[in-house]
Amino acid sequence: MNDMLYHKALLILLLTLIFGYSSYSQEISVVKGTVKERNNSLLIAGAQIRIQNSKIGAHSDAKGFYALKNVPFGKHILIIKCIGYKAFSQEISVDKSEIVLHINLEPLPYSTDEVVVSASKRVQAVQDVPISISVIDQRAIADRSITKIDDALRYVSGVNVAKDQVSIRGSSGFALGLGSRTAILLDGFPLLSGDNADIKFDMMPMMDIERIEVIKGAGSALYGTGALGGVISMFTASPKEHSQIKVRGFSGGYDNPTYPAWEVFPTTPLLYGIDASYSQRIGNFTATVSGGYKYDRSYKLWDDSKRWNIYGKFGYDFSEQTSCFLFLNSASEERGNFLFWNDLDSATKPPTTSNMNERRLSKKFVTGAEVKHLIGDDAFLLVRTSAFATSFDELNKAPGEEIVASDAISWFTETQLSTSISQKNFLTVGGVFTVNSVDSPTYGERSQSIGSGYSQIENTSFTDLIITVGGRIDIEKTESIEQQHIQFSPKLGLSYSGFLPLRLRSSFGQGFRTPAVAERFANIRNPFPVNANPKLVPERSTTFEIGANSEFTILDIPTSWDFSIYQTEFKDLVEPQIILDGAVPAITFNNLLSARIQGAEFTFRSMFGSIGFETSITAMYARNTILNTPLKFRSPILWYNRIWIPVSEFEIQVDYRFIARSERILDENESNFERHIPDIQKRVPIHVLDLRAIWNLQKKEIAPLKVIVNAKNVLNYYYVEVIGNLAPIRQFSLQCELNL
Amino acid sequence: MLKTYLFIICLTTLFTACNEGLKPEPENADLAGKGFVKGTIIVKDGVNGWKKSKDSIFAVRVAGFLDNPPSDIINSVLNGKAYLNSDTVALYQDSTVFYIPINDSPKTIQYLGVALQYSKSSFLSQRVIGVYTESGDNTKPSVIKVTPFDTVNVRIYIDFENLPPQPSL
Repeated sequence: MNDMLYHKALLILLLTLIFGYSSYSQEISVVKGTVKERNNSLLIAGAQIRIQNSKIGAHSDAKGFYALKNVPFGKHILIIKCIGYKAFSQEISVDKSEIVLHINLEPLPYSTDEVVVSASKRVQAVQDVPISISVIDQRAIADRSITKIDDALRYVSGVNVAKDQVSIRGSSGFALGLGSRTAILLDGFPLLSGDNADIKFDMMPMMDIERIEVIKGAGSALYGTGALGGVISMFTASPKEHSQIKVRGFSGGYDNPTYPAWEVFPTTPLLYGIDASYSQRIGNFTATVSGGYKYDRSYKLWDDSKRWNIYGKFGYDFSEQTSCFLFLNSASEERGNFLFWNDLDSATKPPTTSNMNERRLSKKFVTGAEVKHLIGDDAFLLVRTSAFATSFDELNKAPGEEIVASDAISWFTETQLSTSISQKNFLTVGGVFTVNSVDSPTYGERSQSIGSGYSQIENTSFTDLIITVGGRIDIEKTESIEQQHIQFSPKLGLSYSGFLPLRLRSSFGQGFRTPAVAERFANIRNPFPVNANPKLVPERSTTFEIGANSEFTILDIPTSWDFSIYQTEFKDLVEPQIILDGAVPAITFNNLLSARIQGAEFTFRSMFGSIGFETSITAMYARNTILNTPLKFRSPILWYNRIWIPVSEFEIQVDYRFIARSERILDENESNFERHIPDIQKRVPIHVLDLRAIWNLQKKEIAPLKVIVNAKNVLNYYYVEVIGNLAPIRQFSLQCELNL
Repeated sequence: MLKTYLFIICLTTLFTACNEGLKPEPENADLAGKGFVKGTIIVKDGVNGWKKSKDSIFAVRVAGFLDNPPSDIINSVLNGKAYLNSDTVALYQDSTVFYIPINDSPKTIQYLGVALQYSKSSFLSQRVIGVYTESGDNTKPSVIKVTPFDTVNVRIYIDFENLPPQPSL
């Protein structure tokens, strides 16, 4: 009996095992399909798809395809998330070995769940940041087919771009392109030149940049010199497992000026260019290589330019904790030496005394490396070092004529540790050492060194409140002048989310900028004298800001807004001062200015049906507090608007910007400068309308191609961004982008 | 309906800015009703043709005179009896345009020449490098009649290896 029972039990066990295994093997399924954008079928790469309450998950690839393996039979909740799209969840019933499920995501007019890196030098939710920050994300860069970094920045609230100079909330006026008051970084490496401390827009690898963050207000507590008015931080894309090849070409031309007196070419002045990029991850190795060439004949005489750039970034993961990358970036530009117009009547021509055989050659090369080691889940140590070499020269000068030229290298090394020191406190500390070496007939042989240390703690002890406290010390010394400058830049930030969806923020920060070697030592005779002033001291700023933002949906219309009011006090601002040198006006850089800028900024974004809309307005009251006059070269109103209208695989984009006329260009005692640059005071409010028509053949999987017709300054409105320089007139171009 | 009105208002507001903004002063009123000579200068061998110049090149201007050959050129220029632009045309291009207002049209321009300034410091250092001729013979300048409200389009060819006769200064 016992034997029978035993055998029965054994049989049941065997049957259970056999059928159990059999049924187990049948209860495993693969859920697969594609992720597309609703309405236009654009394939979405990088969407996260996972089964709720399980470890099963995947990301969609470049063709939008995903596959979830080993999904047990039964009912599950599928959750799909992707930056720039509304999160989506769906119950699925898994009852066979393969389930095909295609997912359509609804695009948002703005990116929620956005993360930023620049605010605290580590990944953070944008909602937790206590300062004003704008993000141009990967989708915005791709959708707008941005080919130049300055085009990307022109519609960022509070930012004013004038040629190669960026002014954030009025921080910069006109400084002959020298001494940027905005720090600029690529993947965390600073890219201000060692001599002029200016921004070299033409060397940025736009094909590979996937995100741009703009910090508004003093940011020296983390970024040191240069971050007086803000920080622009660019990040390149990480290569994917499959190879990505992108080729972009454009060709177009400038329209004829309305006024024949401004017509300088018998045929349409052309502009064209081509860029290409390749990236791929192979095992632990990643590589990105890109390059491009651009030609612009310009609408002005003696302003034509030829540019090329190459970029390479190579990474290696030693382990899951330790990785490194090395990058190289080189660019060159040869252009005419147009500095100012002859006068308004011949605004497209340089002064009649110009030697138009002259050319200006500018070269840039930067290389750097970073090693990052994850110490734990929320701690890392990184070391980065770079060398940024720049040179410029004037070619074809007549014998005996002055040549303005310079070679400079900026050496940079940084060590940063970010770690939790308790459950409620997160610490970021670091040290930076920068040396700027200059060898120039114009500035002399100079060496400027800056050593810095910074520390910041983020505290979350109070419910819904994040408190950020930090500071940085910088010690600057320049050889050949007996001065050493010590700067302390503190910061305090509060971010409160207790009244959701309303988020409140407040911040206080100080910034400083060490005068560039060029500002201290420039000794130039032509086209007008610029005299050296080695006694310049660093300029300083203090910013206080309160702001609020909210994201919500009214009547199914997703909406967001951001409002802030701010005040920045500037001390010892270095500005070009125009004084009479005999009968000739001459420029000397001086610490002659204290200023106060008070302002308010409002940004509103929404999506009415499929039509996206964004508007931002920045109002500023900028005063020279010493003379009690309007601060020169500052516009009181910046008003930027964008509308995008997608229709199937087509999209129309309309950008309009209004920049109010700056109240003041010259002080009373500087009016003699008008003799040197005639009509220097001529300026008008700026109205610029840009249109873009995009045919995205990728959306319908017709071809991996995007065709864009660009029309810039459609109104053919004539204005100046920089004194004595007619801004670009109406231009049209056709652009094709191939993504393989 | 409200959206349509808003759209129309926006469009109207924007397009009032069309071709607006800064203007060259003469365009406002001074040149209204006057005549113009507008032309294209074409250099033999294109950009490389400029290298054949035996002189340094600091400026190239176009000037029109009421006599042929022009006499007393310097005084004509100084006294405003010649028609020219004070600023240079584009240099080192295969072709370039010029534009001369004839303020007291109608006039008959007997001689339209292209002059090269070969010294930076001296305005008197000029050499004629081309003349307007319909025959192709640069020793025989052609006449241009300019009437009010009229723009006469011309072409001038420059060959640095075959310069026209030099009028006396």
